[in-house]
Order: sequence, then C-alpha cells, then structure tokens
Amino acid sequence: MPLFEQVLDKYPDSVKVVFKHYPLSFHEQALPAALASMAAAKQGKFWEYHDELFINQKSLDQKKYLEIAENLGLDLKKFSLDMMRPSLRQKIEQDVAEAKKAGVTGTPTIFVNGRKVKNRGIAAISKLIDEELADGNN
Amino acid sequence: MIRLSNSGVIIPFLMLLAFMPVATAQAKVDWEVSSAVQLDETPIDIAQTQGGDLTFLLTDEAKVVIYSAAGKIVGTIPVDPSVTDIAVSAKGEQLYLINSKRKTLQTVDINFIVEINAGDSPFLGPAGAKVVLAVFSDFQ
Repeated sequence: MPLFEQVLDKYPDSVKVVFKHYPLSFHEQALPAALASMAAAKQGKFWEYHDELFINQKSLDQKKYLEIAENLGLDLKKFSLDMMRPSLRQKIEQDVAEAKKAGVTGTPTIFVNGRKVKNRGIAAISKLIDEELADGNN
Repeated sequence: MIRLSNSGVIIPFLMLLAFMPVATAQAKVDWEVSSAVQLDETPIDIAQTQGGDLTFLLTDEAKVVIYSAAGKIVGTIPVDPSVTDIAVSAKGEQLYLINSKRKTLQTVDINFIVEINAGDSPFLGPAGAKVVLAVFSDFQ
C-alpha cells in the first residue's frame, strides 16, 4: 500500500494529506505534468490523475496527458484550455516559493504540521503524527 | 625540544615585509554598523548559518538563543552551563556545543517548524484534521 494510504488508513479522522507542487527544473516533464494534474483538479479528478501520472512516470508527454484525461472521462477541450491558464502556473510558482522558504531541496519532501520528516518510513511518520496528536490533547 | 634560532624567525619576517608595502598601500576597509540588537543576557559566543539567515548566540545563562536576520528570536535551546563555544552547520540544522573544560563536543539536531499554507491545495482525508501532512512532490 502506498505510504499516504497507509497513513490515512491508520489515522482516518485526524490526518489530512496535502499535495504541494515542487517540479524539479531538471525533470523536463515535471512542470507540464503538474499543470496537467491541476487541470484535472479543475474537473475534480486530481488524485485519480495523480495516480495515473505516477503509473506512467516513464512515458510522460503531451499525448499521454490527453490520453490519461480521456481515460478518466475528463472534458478534453476544457482540460487543454485549463492546462494553459496562467493562474495554474502561478499556483505552482507559489508552491515552489513556499518550498524554498521551507528549505525543500528535493522530492518528495514531507512535513507533519510543519515539521520536516527526515525518515520517510511509516514508523517515523507515525511517531511525528502521534506527537502532534498528543500535543493537541494537552 | 624544538627551538627556532633568531635567523629562523627574522628571515621569514623580512620576506614578509618585502611583500607588505604593496598590500598595505591597496588595503582599504569601508565599514558601518548595519544592525545592533539589545540582548537580555550576556553573550559568550556567536555562530551564523551560511548566508547569515540565522544567528546563534550562546549566553551566560546556559542557553543558545537563535535570532533571525531581522533580529527576532526564532527559538531558544537550553544547554549545559559549562558549554564554552558554539558552531552551526551551513543551514543551521546542527548545532555544535563545545565544552573545553570537559573536553566534549555535542551535536544537537535542530528542527525548524515551518508554516505551510494548505489553503487551496488538493488533499485527502478530513478537511479539519488536527494533523496536516504536506507533501512537496513532482511527477517525474
């Protein structure tokens, strides 16, 4: 089971997983893929699109973005127009600026209530979550 | 026992003098006080991260106080009263506490808690969850 599903499975009422974009500049398809995921989000299918992007990670290109959108039943005309919207690019730029401020240098980088996760295993993440939940109860 | 003879000291000194006039003639220092912070405690030692974003100050009250570049206190770490000197890693994630009396070097891992705006980003799980797990990622 992927890490986030494990976390959500373990803490269904107390943890929210938030996706922030940090397309690395040396990953040629990272920015277009991020834009495609946001265009899918505009039709309520961000996470489905997100999963497909990871499954097709090695063959990403414009054709693939449209193919995934079609398979998920998205309105392709709207999808293509949304992908080009400057507001989507701005949102990514905001996430990147926020990442830089938070000291993010690689992907994925995870924070639990603002605390950087040094070890991405479920045990280490659970420990941080448990600490945060205990803090909240005081 | 190794002892330098007089000539052993004087000759290198003369060689140094031969080069000095050039350096002195060009040397110029421009300076101004760029900031001044009134401290609550007596400082003993100072260390800075690369780029000067954070300044760590060891005080005589067995604390290391961390200041931002704007002079605001970011955090305080209690330390052993006999710590004599401090040093920090480039990003400030490790603080080194040097104790010359006890001949010890301690490394303290520091976690900075950052604010992450979860606002309009896609999420899974309950909207009002107590814990927010933010993932910065790309797809390639």
